[in-house]
Amino acid sequence: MVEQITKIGEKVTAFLSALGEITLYYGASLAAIFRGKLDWAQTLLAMERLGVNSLPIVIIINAFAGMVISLHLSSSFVDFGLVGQMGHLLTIAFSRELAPVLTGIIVAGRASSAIAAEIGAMAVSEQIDALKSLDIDPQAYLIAPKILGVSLMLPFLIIIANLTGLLGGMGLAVYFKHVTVQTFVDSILTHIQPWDFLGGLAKGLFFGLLVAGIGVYYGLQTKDGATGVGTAATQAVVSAIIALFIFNLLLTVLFY
Amino acid sequence: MIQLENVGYTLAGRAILSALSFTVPAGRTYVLLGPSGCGKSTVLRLVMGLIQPTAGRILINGVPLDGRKKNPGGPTRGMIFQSSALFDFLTVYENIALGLRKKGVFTEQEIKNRVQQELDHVGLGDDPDLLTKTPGQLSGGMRKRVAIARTLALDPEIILYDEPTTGLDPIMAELIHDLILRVHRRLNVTSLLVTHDLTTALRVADEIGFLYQGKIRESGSAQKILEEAGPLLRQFITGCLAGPIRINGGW
Repeated sequence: MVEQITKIGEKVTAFLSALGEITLYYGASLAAIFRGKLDWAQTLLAMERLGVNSLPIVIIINAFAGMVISLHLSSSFVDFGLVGQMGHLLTIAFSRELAPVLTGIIVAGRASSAIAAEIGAMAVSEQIDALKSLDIDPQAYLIAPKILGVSLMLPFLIIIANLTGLLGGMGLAVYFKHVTVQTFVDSILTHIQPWDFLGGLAKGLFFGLLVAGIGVYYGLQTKDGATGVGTAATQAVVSAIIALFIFNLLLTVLFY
Repeated sequence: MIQLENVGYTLAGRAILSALSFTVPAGRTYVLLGPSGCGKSTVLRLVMGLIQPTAGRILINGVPLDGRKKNPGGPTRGMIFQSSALFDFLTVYENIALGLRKKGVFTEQEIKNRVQQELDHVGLGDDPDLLTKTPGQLSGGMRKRVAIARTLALDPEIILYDEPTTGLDPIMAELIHDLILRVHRRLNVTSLLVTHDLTTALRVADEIGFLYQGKIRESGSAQKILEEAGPLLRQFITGCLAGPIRINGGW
């Protein structure tokens, strides 16, 4: 019994310690930005590698998700004569939940693991110490650009996800269920509020911070060479996705 | 000048270094010789300020190292890592230029000239394709020389070498020895080098300290070390399994 309580205590301590460290990364990143120390070239590189390069998969997954949901909705809605609500419901689903969460998961899978693996490989091969020895602040050169890059790109990716998801859904409804484009668009414009979209984008910003922070944390904890790098990348993805779902619930309660 | 005064370093309850004291006079090369895992690299990381001692203090030119400051107004330090630690996402040119660029005082042309000059110094200046190669495309010896060029580009007054010849063939190792001696003569830097390789120690050292179980056990000039070696050092030099050096259970 005592042993179990001790184990739980250790887990809680480790979790709080990780949370504290990740918060410190955010603080140091903010400090790097406000002191003008941020490496903008590395930030742009991170935006390209971790954000822009995720575009194809974001488009594909959201377009197909939009089509599938449209298929389910339209089958029932046609029967009940609620075709006029399709655009509205699909947009609510996408803008508030599906686009941020699906895109968050994609970016967690790509960026969190990439960040953990890159920083982890640098840590085990003394490259982070080498940065310090050259008087270069790893926070400003390595960590802040990744956190900022992912956080800035996720809302942008969510905009694209919304567009492709809705276009996919509308395309299927129009082609297979003979819903007119006018009806679909009217349903969106009549019922949807700006916050439905903006809330989703705000979620993206938080998800970006979460995904990148977790990637950095596991990267910097890396030990034991190549095996450690692989473990760090896996742990980063798993933790980022779990954290993303928990955070999503909190933000949904808060925003809507 | 580098001074270590009763420096201790404990990690996870295990004493890596205990009451370690030695001095490297300005312009001299001190070699810490010792078996793997005896705390040699820890000494370099402490002097570089990458980790903080848990006991004692380190002084650079008489000024104590402050953990909160990277270079407390004292001489600049540069370190050549055992693994070379070149940034594998940058080209050779960018690796050497990075530290210069971050200083924010050089024009791109000055940086370019400096990179070429340092590559010339380490004997890699003749290959025009080298600048655009990434570290993964270089041999171990070339990576080591690029790492030295990267450190020298920042004009350090103190250079720390971590196992500079480990993993290199005898000819490449001799080239690195020669390079270390030439750097010393040219720049009159203070150098602290750690190695388990006796040949390297004898070749480059003004003074050698034999480190075992976190303490300096013997020290002196290369000649003195060889002539007056005690049982510990003698076993280390000869490579005998029998002797006072504990092999099982770690150093």
